[in-house]
Amino acid sequence: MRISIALISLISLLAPLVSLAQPDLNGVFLRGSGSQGYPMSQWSAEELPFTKAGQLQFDNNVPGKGPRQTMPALGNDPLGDANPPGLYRTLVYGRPWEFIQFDNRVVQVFEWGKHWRTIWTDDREVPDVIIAGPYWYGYSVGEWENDTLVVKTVGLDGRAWMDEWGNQVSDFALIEEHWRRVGDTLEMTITVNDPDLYREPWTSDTKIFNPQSPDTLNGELMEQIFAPIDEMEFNRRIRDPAAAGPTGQN
Amino acid sequence: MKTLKTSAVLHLPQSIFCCLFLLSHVPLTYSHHGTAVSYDQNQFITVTGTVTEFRWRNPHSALFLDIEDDAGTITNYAIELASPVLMSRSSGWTRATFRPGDVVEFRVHPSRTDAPVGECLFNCEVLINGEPPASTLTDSEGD
Repeated sequence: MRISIALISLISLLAPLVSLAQPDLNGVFLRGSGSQGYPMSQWSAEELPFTKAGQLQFDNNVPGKGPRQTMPALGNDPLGDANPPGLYRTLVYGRPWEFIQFDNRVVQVFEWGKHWRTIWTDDREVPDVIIAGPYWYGYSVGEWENDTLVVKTVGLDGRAWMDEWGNQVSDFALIEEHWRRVGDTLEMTITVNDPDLYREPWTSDTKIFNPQSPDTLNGELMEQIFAPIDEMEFNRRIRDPAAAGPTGQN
Repeated sequence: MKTLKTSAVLHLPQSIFCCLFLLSHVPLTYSHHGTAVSYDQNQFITVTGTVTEFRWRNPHSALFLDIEDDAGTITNYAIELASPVLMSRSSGWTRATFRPGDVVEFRVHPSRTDAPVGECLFNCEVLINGEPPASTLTDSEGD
């Protein structure tokens, strides 16, 4: 009994030290590599293993960027109506975001859309059901495995595209992220588990995020909200006329 | 719009182009809907006209010009710009950069459909009343 009590006491004493030993993720970062030449997704250089439903959904999405790009006025990108980009589209987009690390969570603040998400690191389990979900930015639980923060995200809103090129995951996807600090930079991959849309799990290429020091132009997050009042005017005065031609006909 | 391209378009000498900044200061992507595909990214035209409106709103900004062709017909031409966040970072522009009545010469990518709409999302080359626009960036930020 005394040994058990001593062990528990020792663990309690060491816990803060373990916490301190975790890599410091704090800072503002910007994605540093592109997706040129990728066949269908900004996340992977490989073809994605669509199920029949996944292929159908991909075919039905008409993006304004990537190999299948179409004039936005003729496409169906949900951003065109000022919907939120969602978590994974934001992560693969080239705008700065900030990691803020607490004892029990890591908060990621995104300039693009001015959204945030919480990665809980307090040993909670990944819930089977997100009662109030789905969420555009999912529900995330993280756990340190040595120097890597392994994040499981569920409860995603399947209406969000996961990149600019028209890929999606379903409401029932489980995405596993691996975040690792390498020098000043952050490396990240995602593994997509989504049997509804993909025959097998697939893992992205490694995405690199470079630190942005506070005295640089991208070092301070600004506001980039999508507001319908703005989007409607933009579409009416710029986007749609650009596609319509001088006669106003598409 | 045929006359627009032949009469209202001026090609500015390279020596007076302004607002050229290194791409390292500019984020990877500029137009969140991929609107770039609506414009001919391999072609530039320079439109000259009088500012009727400068729309400085996130995430979409735009400049509207009245341009006059040889026959005296006035067309309101829209120029899609980047967001104020990006323009303030990349070029040091502010909401006061353009004012109604300013005469501007603006190099843009034209609409693929020949509509009176153009685009410049970064490294914009523009003269306002014959002068380069003022910038809030320091030399080190602009270099």
